[in-house]
Amino acid sequence: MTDGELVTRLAEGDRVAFAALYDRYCRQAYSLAKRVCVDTQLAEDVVQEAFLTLWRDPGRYQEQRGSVSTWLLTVVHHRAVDAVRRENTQRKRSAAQAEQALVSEQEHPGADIAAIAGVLGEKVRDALHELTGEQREVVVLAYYGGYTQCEVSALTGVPLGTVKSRMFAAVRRLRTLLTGGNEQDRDLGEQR
Amino acid sequence: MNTDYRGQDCPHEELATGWALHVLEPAEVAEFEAHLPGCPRCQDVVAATQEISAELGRGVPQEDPPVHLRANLLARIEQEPQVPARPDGHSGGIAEASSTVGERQPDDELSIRRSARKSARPGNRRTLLAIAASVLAVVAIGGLGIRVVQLGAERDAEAGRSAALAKAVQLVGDPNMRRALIGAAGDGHPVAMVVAAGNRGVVVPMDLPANDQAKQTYVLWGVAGAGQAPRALGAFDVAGPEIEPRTVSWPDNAPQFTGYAVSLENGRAAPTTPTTVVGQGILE
Repeated sequence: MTDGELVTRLAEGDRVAFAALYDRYCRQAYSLAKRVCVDTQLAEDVVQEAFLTLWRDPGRYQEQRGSVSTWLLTVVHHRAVDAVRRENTQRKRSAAQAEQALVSEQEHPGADIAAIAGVLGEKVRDALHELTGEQREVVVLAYYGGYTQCEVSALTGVPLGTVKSRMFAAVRRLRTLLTGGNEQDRDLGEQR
Repeated sequence: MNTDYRGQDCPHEELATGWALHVLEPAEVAEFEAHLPGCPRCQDVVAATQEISAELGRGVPQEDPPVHLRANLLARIEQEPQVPARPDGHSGGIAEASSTVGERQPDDELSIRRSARKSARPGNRRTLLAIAASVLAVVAIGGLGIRVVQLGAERDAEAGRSAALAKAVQLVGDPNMRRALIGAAGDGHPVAMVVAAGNRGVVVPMDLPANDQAKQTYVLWGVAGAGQAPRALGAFDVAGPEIEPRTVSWPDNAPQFTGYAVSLENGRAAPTTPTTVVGQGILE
């Protein structure tokens, strides 16, 4: 059964369909939440809230806008970032790891890649490697560290406008690298 | 902005990327969410960015969640009612489920307050403009009396209102709505914003000093064109630094105004012609 069919059933109150979706994506969801939050309990809360969001209002997922897993991971990431922004201590810890990797790049070229390689899958690692150091910095701090663009600007001393343009350019580049996307064809290649 | 996107670029695309990645400040969120429903281009950018975001998410080291999480979740849904299915067509794409949009859980409110605490600063014109624009979109069309943004010490209250705005902005959108930014008579900096749709309008004070409500009143004037006398549309007071929309309306047979002016008048009634014009602007 496809993800889309499971969501349709879930919307009709089908608990089995809900459980099937959980089983299908709980690992991805929890792993992402854990990476961003660091704290296990926080990550569990994030995952639970994300799946409850789907249960309460499955209409929020729109099939024509993307796959279920993309939708779910988006919700997880946003909630994880919100949680980690509330927990400044945790956030500083996790972001410090990312920052350390990035700072080390200046001292030992390629050291950040080595650090990231230790925690990220090959596909993402290779894609990040293709970015410029500056682009990689804003993506890592924002996505894995949970920082807003303003905070990235403050952390790095890079003007906010530059942070915004680097992030935009990085995402466009990653789109080609990770999804093979071009600007016209948005074939998601996921179960629908 | 120079991009290699094909088709029509939109100046909001950088914001779209930031919004999808959840890295914007609250004022930017409000600004973009007012724009998103009417812009297919930005909806595409949001969807494409979220694909990348999900790929970054899939790249983290995988580990199994604790077993009790599944059991807890399945127990929880027994207490959670589902909202009825909605018709298709509402915009916002995947991110409609994000914690930045729609109904928030208490934790989300807290996170917004904290992020807002670090963002909007008193006197930040962009913040004011973004929030005021959102307020206008809501009030002019929905008639929602939303009191917005106490600049200064009430950060949490401001954040709550911003969250309400973000929600409300999603619900409105009138292609006939027109705005005019009222620039100060002296240096032109924005002192108020006017939005009009049909024969109804809203004025939002942004940087107007409080008037003596026993002896003075502000008046909003409609300007129909060169050589035509401005027309008093309504009087309003400014009690303090808060942004609070004021609704005014005028007869159906009024001319099509091309701009607006704001004056400060002695007395509590609008005169036939403005005395001290404090700002004016043309419709966007």
